[in-house]
Formats: sequence, structure tokens, C-alpha cells
Amino acid sequence: MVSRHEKIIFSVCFFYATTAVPFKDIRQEVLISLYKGYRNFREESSESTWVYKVCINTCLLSLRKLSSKVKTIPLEEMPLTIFHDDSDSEFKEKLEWLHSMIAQLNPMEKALILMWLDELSYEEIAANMGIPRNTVASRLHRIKEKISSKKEI
Amino acid sequence: MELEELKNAWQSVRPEIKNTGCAPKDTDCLSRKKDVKSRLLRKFFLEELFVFVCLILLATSHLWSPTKLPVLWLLAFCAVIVAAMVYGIGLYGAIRQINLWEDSNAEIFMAIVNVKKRYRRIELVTSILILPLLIWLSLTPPFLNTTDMYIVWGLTIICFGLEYLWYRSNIKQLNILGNWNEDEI
Repeated sequence: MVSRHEKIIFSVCFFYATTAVPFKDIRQEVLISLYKGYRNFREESSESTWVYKVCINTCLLSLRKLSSKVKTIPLEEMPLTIFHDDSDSEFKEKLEWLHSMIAQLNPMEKALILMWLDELSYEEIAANMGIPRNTVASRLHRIKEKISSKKEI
Repeated sequence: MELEELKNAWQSVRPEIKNTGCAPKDTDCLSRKKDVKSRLLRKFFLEELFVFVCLILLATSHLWSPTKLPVLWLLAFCAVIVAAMVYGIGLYGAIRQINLWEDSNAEIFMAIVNVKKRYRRIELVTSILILPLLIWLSLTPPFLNTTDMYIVWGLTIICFGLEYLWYRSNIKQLNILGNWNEDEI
């Protein structure tokens, strides 16, 4: 199951990671939650939807739990050390840029944009987050404004 | 900037995402760490067992040994060994409590730092307490300038050397447990 949804797990952990809550720590917490929760998966939704929910909930909990324990340094100083040095530099640059864009959003907005980036429909996003479809549209609009203002700066 | 630009960037990097450490590779790393933890616990257990046997032999030496050690010295020496053993058992428990599967890297790292600090303290305090006791014994009249005294001192120096090597090897294994970089494990 983890191998099947590796990219979802990566994207959620990557965009929620900060210097205070490193990627590897957050990934470990997510993998444990998936391992523990899988036996209770009742197939009421698709497996990928369930993985999304678990990943996002665990990230939100980990942020609360771990950020109070570890000292922080500014986000701009965060090195992208997840991949080996032989990774394509253009690939790394793009990921860093995406991380910096999404880092300015609050945790709930991050969850929303991640699902939107992965091309989930408004209905699926609304069902996953437990909000009306119209709210998804209005929040995406707000996210767009936030990201545009960052770009202008 | 349009959100579409963000989506295009994401869609272009998404297929290239591989070796994220989410797949079973990470489990291998944790299994390797688990082996190190088991080895470390076994070593600590054997050390405690060895010290316990020595303690029993020493405490009952008046019953079987022709050399009668001074009772006061014997009591002091046994007290130091018992204290070191109790502290050692605490250390064993602290290592055993580390849960490589459920604790976060930060929690494991903090636990290892704590264990290393306690381990260093126990080695230092025991050495500092044992040396004056051995000097006291060698200055006690029946042992002064005897072959037994030189044998004891020779064995003490060898034991201190072996203990240091043992300590270094355990610290190396503790470092592996606390290591965040999987490539160095």
C-alpha cells in the first residue's frame, strides 16, 4: 500500500515539512499512522482518498506535537536535503520553488492545494476536507491571491 | 501568477519523484537499527552478568580464598560495584525503552544523547571511586610490596584498557542508533 501511494505520502510530507519539523520525522509519523490505521480501513472511500486523509491529519498533529519540542530557524534557511546530491538540479530547484510558494499557506490551505495539484475534483476535495464544494472554490481563490502577492514581492 | 503555473510545475516534477524513502527501503534501515539495538542490549546484559558474578565471588571471598581482604575495604568495594550495577540496569532500561518504530527521529536522538551522558557519567564515577580503593588496598600492610599487589595492579590496568575499548564500541553503536542519516548506517 505504501509503495502504491508513495507519491501522495511524499508530497504531503514534503509540503508540510519545515526546519522545525523535518521531512524525515514527519514521514516517519505518517508511515506509522498508515501502518496502524490500515487494519481499520473500511473501503468506504478509495484507498488514495483514505491515504490523503491519514497523511494530512497526521501532518497536522505532528506539526502541533513536534514544533513545540524543536527550536526553529527561518524557513528560508531550510536546505533541501531529502534527495541525494546526484539528483537533477532543475528538479531540485522546481521542488524548492514549489515548497517556498506553498510554505506561506496555513495548514488547511496546504491540504487543499495539495489535493488540487494532484488533480482531485472539487467534489473529492470537499468530501476529503468535510467542507462544501463552494467553499473549496472560494478558498482556492484566496490561495491564488496569497500566492500572487508573494510572487509580486 | 496563476495557480495553473504552480500545477504545471508540480506535474512536471511529480513523475520524477522516486526514492522518497516512503517505500520499504526505510524499513530496512529501521531493521538494521533494531539489530544494533539488540546487540547493544545483549552486550549491556552480559556486562551486568559478568559484574554480578565478580561481585558474588568478591563478597564470598572470605569463604573460599586464602587471601583475607580487609572487611571494611570489601564492603566499600562491593558498595561501589552494586551502585554501578543499579545505574547500569537503569541504562539498560533506557535503551530498551527507545522505540525505533514509533518514536520520531528527534525523540530517539534526545534519548540517545541522554543515554550517552549517563553512560559516560557511570564510567567516570566508577573509575574515580575504584582507583583510591585499590591504592588503599595496596597500602594495607599484608599486601604492601607483595607479588599479589603487583598482579592486582597489572590486572587493573588491563581491565581499565578493556573497559575503555568496550565503552568506545558501545558509544559507536549508540551513535548508529541516533543517526538521522540512513546512508551512514
